[in-house]
Amino acid sequence: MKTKLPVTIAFLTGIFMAFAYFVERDNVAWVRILYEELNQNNIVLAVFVLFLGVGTLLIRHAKKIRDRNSDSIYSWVVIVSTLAVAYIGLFQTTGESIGANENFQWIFNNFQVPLSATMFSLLAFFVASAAYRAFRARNTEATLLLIAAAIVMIGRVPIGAVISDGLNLTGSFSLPAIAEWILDIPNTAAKRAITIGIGLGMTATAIKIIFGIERTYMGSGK
Amino acid sequence: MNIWDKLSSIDRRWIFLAMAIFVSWPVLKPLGLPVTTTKEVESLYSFIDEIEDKKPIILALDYGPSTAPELTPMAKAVIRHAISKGIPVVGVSLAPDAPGVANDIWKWAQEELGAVPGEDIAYLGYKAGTTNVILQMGQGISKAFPKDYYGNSTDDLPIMEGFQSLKDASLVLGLEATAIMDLWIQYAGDQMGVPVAGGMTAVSAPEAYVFYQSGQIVGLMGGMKGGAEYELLVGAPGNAVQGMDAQSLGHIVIIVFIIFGNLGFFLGKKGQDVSRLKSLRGDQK
Amino acid sequence: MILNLIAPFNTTEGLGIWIAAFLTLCIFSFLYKDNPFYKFAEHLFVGVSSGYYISIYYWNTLKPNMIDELTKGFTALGKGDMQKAFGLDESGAVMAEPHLRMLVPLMLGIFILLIFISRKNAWLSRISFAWYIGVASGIAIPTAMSTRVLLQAQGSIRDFCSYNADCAVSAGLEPQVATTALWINAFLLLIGTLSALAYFFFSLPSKGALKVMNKVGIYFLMISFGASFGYTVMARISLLIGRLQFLFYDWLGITIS
Repeated sequence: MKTKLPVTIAFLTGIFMAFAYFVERDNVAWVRILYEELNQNNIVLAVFVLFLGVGTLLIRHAKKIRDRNSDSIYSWVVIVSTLAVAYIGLFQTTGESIGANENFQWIFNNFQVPLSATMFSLLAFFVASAAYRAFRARNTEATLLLIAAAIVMIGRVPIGAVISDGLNLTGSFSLPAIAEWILDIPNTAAKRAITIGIGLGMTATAIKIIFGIERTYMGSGK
Repeated sequence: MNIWDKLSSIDRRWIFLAMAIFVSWPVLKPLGLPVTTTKEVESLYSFIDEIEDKKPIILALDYGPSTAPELTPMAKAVIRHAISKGIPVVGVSLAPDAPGVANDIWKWAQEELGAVPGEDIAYLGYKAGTTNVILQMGQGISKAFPKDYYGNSTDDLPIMEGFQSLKDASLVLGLEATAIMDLWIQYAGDQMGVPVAGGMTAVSAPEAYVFYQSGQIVGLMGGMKGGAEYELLVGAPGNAVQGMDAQSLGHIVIIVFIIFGNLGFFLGKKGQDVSRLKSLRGDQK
Repeated sequence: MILNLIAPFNTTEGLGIWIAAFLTLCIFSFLYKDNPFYKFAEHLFVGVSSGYYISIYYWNTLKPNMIDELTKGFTALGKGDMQKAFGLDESGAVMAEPHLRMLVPLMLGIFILLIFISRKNAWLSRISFAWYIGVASGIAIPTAMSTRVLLQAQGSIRDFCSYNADCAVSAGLEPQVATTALWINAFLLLIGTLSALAYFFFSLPSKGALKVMNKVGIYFLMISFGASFGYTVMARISLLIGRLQFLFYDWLGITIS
């Protein structure tokens, strides 16, 4: 029951949604109604999945505080900031929407934006360091990769045109034109093969889920 | 340790410092390098320029602050273009960290462009569920977004007159930091037949070329360069154009360090040991 | 270059800019080495993001799509209007507003939260995940095949059609004048796609013609990965430029003359 019921539900919902794609839903009322209901339900279910994630995070940090880990002070930062921002967002919003909550927007602009943006901007430094350490033209394939990367990096920024003018490379032989060609032809060809592979893989995985062969969404345990 | 070995073992903090200096310098003192446009961005510009029936553009702001430097210039340039042509813009978000960014863009549009909320522009907010939201928008925009981000009833907004479902849009332009672009193409484009275009972060842009070449998207802006190109096309250079000089020097720095690393590897002791080992293995075979 | 006054400390906007600059520098300090300022900022990021997501999900999805609907449904139920309570109009037809029909996703949502509440009944969450994944899988099958496989295969030979006026007209494409370079590009695109696909085909041994195709395929793949790396570098540096623009223009008030 604990396994058969979820597998049966996945089968029924999956088969119906796939079937609904091929039906003129406007002409078959029950298909249209059920299709819209399932869509609506999934939109709301996504919210509970988020709450699961946030709940897991808070429990993990609460355990660190309870166990008095050396870094438990930072767990206090996580829990207090989560509750503070949630309080401002949930209880200081008047009316029907959060769009008019100036305090919430202020927190977003002056906490979320710098923290999120700066965390990702660190990658600029690490990509430089990683490229310096790891990119070696050891064989033909690696050399091709390096040359393509260098041409695209130079050709797609303004300095590419300046360097091309300096080296007297014009028209189709300028760095920007070569970079454009790399993106239009070899890149598109290879990425197309990958896209087709992904499409086939997605379809196979979806079919496996619907027919109960793939059950990883149920987690471990009996 | 000879010079070649030293060249391949530079402390990473010197690399960080070099990046910081060479990227900061053009931000403080621009070099004025010319930015040129590419056909993918020009075709998007032409498409919007040639929209005649003034049906709204759906602008999907599906990104957060971490990718805003690349995508916000695109959003502002496209909104400027659409408003100048009298084409209304309806914003939606399928990424949860987008509403804060979108709210600021909407305020900018009102202050800078004089756009009238509810008539020229509307922001419907965020809804969880990505695929399901797109499908529901196909059934009815107000079904997916009964109220806009500011609490107004969607059906009562003047901008929504004659604009009931996603299928009525003149274009869906997705500004994407994740794989949501694929969903707009799959469901809005291929299933519902709505023209779709993409504004992607530079990380995702190379993968979108397959959709541009096959005609599944009408245009493509990639990264800060794509935003800079569109800013130039609308005649309003902004943060993206300003950032191109710094982008150029940053790329040069990385290429120089890659060359250092390779020189050090091949000409240094380690590289010579590896070559000796390889030639030994070759002899044994 | 003109250095204006640094953002004022004594206004809400100025205070916000100072906080944002402080947090930015805390995170950048990691480039020297890990330190308490970075750890504080990192954990603050996690906490602020979680609180932000809770608020956004509640006001944008949970309240309008579920809580408001259930409230209207229970109100109608209280007035004795069973049909309206379940989102049916007078003729019994299903209305767009679901009202008490939202009890189904509410129940499924509670099943998910049982993971925290009751270990014995946590298995019920499998029903919710199965429902969610089942719907998503069913939707994905036909469109994934159409968008990612069929239309992409069509794209590989699209150029050949557009170079032939009759084919272009019948396929609704814009006819193009085919120069030698365009023909070569079209062939390269097709060969590249086929050979890259052949590289990922592991069911046959790599011998003879397949081995040649694999080699060609890997060259195309390496060029493509090089292009992706180039663009990834562009993306990362763009984010750094964004932060520097904030620090120099908004915080330090530097303007370019």
